[in-house]
Amino acid sequence: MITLNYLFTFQEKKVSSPKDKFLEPPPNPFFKIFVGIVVIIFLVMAKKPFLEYDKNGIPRLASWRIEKMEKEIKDFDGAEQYALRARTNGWYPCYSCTDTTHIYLYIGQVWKYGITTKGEKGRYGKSNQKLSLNYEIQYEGDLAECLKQERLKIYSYALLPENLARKKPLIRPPGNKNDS
Amino acid sequence: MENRKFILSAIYWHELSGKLDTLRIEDALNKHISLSDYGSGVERIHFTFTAVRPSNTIHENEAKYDRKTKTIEMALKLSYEHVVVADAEGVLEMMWGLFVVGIDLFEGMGVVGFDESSFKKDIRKVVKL
Repeated sequence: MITLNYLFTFQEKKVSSPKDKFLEPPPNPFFKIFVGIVVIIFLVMAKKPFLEYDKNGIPRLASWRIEKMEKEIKDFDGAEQYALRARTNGWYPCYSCTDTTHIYLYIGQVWKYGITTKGEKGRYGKSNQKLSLNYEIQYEGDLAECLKQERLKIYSYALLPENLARKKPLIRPPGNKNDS
Repeated sequence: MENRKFILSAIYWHELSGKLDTLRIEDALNKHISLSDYGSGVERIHFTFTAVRPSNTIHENEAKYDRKTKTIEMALKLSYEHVVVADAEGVLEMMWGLFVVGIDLFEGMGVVGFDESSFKKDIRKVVKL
């Protein structure tokens, strides 16, 4: 994914005279135009009719709605269940700890189980790197199967050796806030 | 960890667990390379090595440059079949190779104020260490 930043002119900071020091730098005109275009597109899309009528007056879904629906349904076929594992030894947020906010994990230990589909894949990106996690795909299939696998893993975590070795085993992985 | 300029992670099929030693590359980069030596355009590089099965359509190559934070974020795919058959050192070599290839994408991402050519040259020296 290439950002759109290259479309905007990079403006050098102007050296202002003392009497100008309270003046704001001129706004980037291209940014305003871009925002305007986005707003117009949004308004047009919001008003786009979702029903079409054939020559006999029988209603049907608009083609753009059908395309959107088919894409979303197709995304459900290609889901995956993953484990986020500690990339480095260190402290990680613990949402399932009862008396502390962080837990020490060793390399490879599980922080969280989750699922994702093609439409959602952007969820994990930056947070993974910030939290020093690797993403391990454990199961690939349709959404329903992945949800089952995720549920199985979250519940089974309590019996993982790495968890049982703790003085206070956790009910679920540190990064999972609940059982679903 | 948050102060590290190079942060490398992996997305991989579970059967390849243990094969992608991102820390080894990350440690070498953070030890031997200082991004400020190449200009002020890049302050941080987040690189993700992706080793997923060919049938996986969720994870694709991605590359973007955040001009505000001067951060390059990149996720590039390794050849799954090659990773499967390679030993640990072989995979490490592939990962280094992919990282170097990633540098060639900087210009297309709109990175400014960064000497990619010298950066690439010095990365190759680190690879040989």
